[in-house]
Amino acid sequence: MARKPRTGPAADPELLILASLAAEPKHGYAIMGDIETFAGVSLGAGTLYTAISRLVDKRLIAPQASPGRQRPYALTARGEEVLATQLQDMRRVATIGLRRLKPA
Amino acid sequence: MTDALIAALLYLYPPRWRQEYGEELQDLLRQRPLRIGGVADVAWNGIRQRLHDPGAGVQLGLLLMAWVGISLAMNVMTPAAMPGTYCADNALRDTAIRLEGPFVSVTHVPSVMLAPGGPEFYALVLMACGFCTRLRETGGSPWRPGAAATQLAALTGLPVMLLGLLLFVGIVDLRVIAPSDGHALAGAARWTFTYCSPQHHAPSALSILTAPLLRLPLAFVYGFVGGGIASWLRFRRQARHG
Repeated sequence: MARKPRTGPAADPELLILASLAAEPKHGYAIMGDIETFAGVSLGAGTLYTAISRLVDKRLIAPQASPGRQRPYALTARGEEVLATQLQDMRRVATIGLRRLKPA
Repeated sequence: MTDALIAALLYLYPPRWRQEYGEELQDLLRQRPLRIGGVADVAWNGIRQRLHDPGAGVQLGLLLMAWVGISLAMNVMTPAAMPGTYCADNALRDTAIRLEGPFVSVTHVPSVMLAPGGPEFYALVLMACGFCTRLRETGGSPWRPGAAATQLAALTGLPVMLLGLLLFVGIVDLRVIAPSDGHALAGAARWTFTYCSPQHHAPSALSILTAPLLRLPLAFVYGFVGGGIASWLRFRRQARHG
């Protein structure tokens, strides 16, 4: 089983939320469960919603109309762009780092 | 019990944030068992969010607190800054606050009035605080503008309360001068607070210490009025646009 990331970019709440919303719009509870499943990170409710509010302020995600108390959130076009850039940067750094770590 | 705890935790968040996300966060907290770690997470993020989004009352209050604090420090640290001309009027301008009075209230307790920039300017700032709060927080509690102005007044009064405390324990001395004095203050001892009173009335340290607290209800009223004006303007605008 993969080790659960506790710190570093792979545990950044904002990045995890963006990654979770890349597939489809979700509400807070679903985002929390999804992040636990795919990243093994348990975000607290306070951490989750303050990160969501920061992402909304940055216009990277947007709330969608909903009849219930929980509004689903969706990635905006800018959010998709930022997520893709961040993930590509991480992949580049990870590829180089892992290559250098390999014994010659 | 859980509902009361969740409601208390939500109050740690700024009202504007609570208005936008409070219901969702409350719903999420109700769906999961509340553990100590979860409570700490919600509380810690609420405090962080409050620091991040302090609101008009705290923002203006911190500005006025710095103004009053620096003015009082200048009064105490440099009593002879303008020898020969340090009359009451100059002293008032120098300190940028008006510790007016002491006036005798109905209970015959001498007090002082705190109004940075003069009573009219200070009243305007308190009303502006209520006005901005109401504009920023659509649909919030009707008492919010008053509460924000009270926050502002409490922060502004902190340096005055500190001065009262220093006078009370004897670290700073009090000297009273009248506008008619007009005499030089050169050679005055350091750590002396110069207070201007036409009647040479010296307020007690205790009255300076408690003065800002006694003024809080009035600050609430000014903020409430400012909020009322904002609501009225919004109502008129909505009526005009159908």
